[in-house]
Amino acid sequence: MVVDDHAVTYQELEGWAQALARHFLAAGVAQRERVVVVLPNSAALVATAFAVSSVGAVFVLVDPSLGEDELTGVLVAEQPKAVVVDAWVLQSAAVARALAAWRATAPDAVVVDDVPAIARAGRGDAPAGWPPGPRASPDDPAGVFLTSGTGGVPRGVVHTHRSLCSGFEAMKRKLHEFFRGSPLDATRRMLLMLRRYRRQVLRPPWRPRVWLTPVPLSSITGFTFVLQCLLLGQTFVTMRTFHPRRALQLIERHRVSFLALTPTLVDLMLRLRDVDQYDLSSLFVVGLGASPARPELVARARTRFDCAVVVGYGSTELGGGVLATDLLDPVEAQVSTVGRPFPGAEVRIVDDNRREVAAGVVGELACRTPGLMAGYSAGGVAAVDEDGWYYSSDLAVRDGDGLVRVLGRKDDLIIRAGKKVYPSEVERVIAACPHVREAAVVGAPGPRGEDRICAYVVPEPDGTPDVTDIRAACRTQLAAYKAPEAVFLVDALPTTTAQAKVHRAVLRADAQTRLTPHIKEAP
Amino acid sequence: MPQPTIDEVIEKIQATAAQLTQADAQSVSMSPDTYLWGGPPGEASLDLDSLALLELLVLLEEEQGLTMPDIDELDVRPGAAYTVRRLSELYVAHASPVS
Repeated sequence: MVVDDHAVTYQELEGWAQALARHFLAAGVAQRERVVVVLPNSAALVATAFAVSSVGAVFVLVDPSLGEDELTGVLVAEQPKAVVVDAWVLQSAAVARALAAWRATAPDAVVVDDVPAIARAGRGDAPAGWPPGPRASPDDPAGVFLTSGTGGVPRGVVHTHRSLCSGFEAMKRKLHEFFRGSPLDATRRMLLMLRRYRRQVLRPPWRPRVWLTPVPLSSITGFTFVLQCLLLGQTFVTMRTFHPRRALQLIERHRVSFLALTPTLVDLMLRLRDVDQYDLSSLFVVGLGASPARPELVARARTRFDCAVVVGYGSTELGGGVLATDLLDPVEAQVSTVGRPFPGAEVRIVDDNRREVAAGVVGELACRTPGLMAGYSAGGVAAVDEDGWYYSSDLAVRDGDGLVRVLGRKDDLIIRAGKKVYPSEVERVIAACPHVREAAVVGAPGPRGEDRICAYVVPEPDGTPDVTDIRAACRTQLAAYKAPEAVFLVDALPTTTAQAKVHRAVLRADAQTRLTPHIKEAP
Repeated sequence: MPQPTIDEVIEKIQATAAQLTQADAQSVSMSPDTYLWGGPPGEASLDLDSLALLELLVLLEEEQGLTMPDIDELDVRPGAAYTVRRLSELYVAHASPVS
């Protein structure tokens, strides 16, 4: 595993995990107890997750950019026995304050703030009796991944060991299916692969493939990606923080084969003036996911990277990706659809009564997959029926060939930086500000396909809210990516005639109108 | 291409950040001391998140010919802060114009 330019071998990673596991056992971390991990992308994060699993406990992966209130909410909800941080994360005042407040209420809890030091101190200990803790079963909870909740506090999504490994199982089955049918069929597919991806397919088979993702390993996408890479014995490369030029340098330096990231990040890389100066010929597949990928961007990535670009669809609740385009799909399908379900996953498009609709008819996307979560950490209603179908709230349509196109969101979810932002969580913070009577938050499509968060605020009759205060409140109480980019003061919010609900479609259109002329006028 | 002065870079950042933000008449004026990212609550700030900061840096490269600072030069720790002036100093100190 390589983080930026620092390499850690499999043996070192295992040594770290073993030393940490012994440390957790000595600290009294018991089976099924939670260990909250607030780390940037690092070998320490991966080793900690493995160590926690090996003592039968449950890791809770937290993005270090969470706001103070959000992190406090996670600590209160999960009641961890231990929290793992590092010096870099502790420089965040929000993390430091949340941690200090939590320690005051949980004096017996353990804080680990230097994983490498524990690994060094534990080096040389006899590795007998591994794993050291109670052995977990595949259906025991393994990890908790955070997703934004409609109530404004991040929701913990619990995954079992089995569900976390389901992506790896699907990949194995996909490889097996490639060679299905008669030897002639398999040979045809192989020839097609060679014709389309000759340079990338023809390479020494003994050289390990190198995978790179800059997305947070605390996300389900990042974590399952590193898990699959390590289970295959390949080399995994990541970055503590994303920088588009550094990502290109890492691809060139480490001869990366597989790159997984969000459309926004790949767009930043492609727009660098010197993108053509890097040797990216090692790339075999670029995988895009976590937010909708514009066909124009996919086509641009295909041309510049000169390799396959696959687009996937998934969610934290579904354990990562459940749909993706295939290397042998027609180019048109690769740039404009999210492909077909992974082996083992099922997908259907349903109407409001959850009845499957015909090909070509728009409906809600429902998925059934072995990667489905075990539930929410705090309980609560999940959109899963008794047959195990998860209803996504995304609108989609399937064509006659089974290729699925995702059209938009059924609800009002905003996707910012590949992460979900529920309007209600931002509205709650704004509504608590002085002189605010009510607020509505919508996402307006930006010029690069990224939602821009716009807040509409209605003042109290007795005064005018201070926009600076509103922005400051959002920044202190929410993760940075959830803060509104624009705050508009309005006399009233538009409402639907039927139920007097806020008419968000009207606000979205208004926000787009307000933002667009300014962009054109800019020098 | 000669190395720009801090004042020139401040001007370019102000013009480019205006594209990135919005036409909100209520927004704070963007002085050289406006925080682009991670400033203390209550200070003049445009509240860019780290992704929007990268978008700004790429726009500066695309449209103004300023090579974005390397990751080792950019301080992107949680809690780090950038004003327009500080980012300009970083460009003048470390980044060279794209030829």
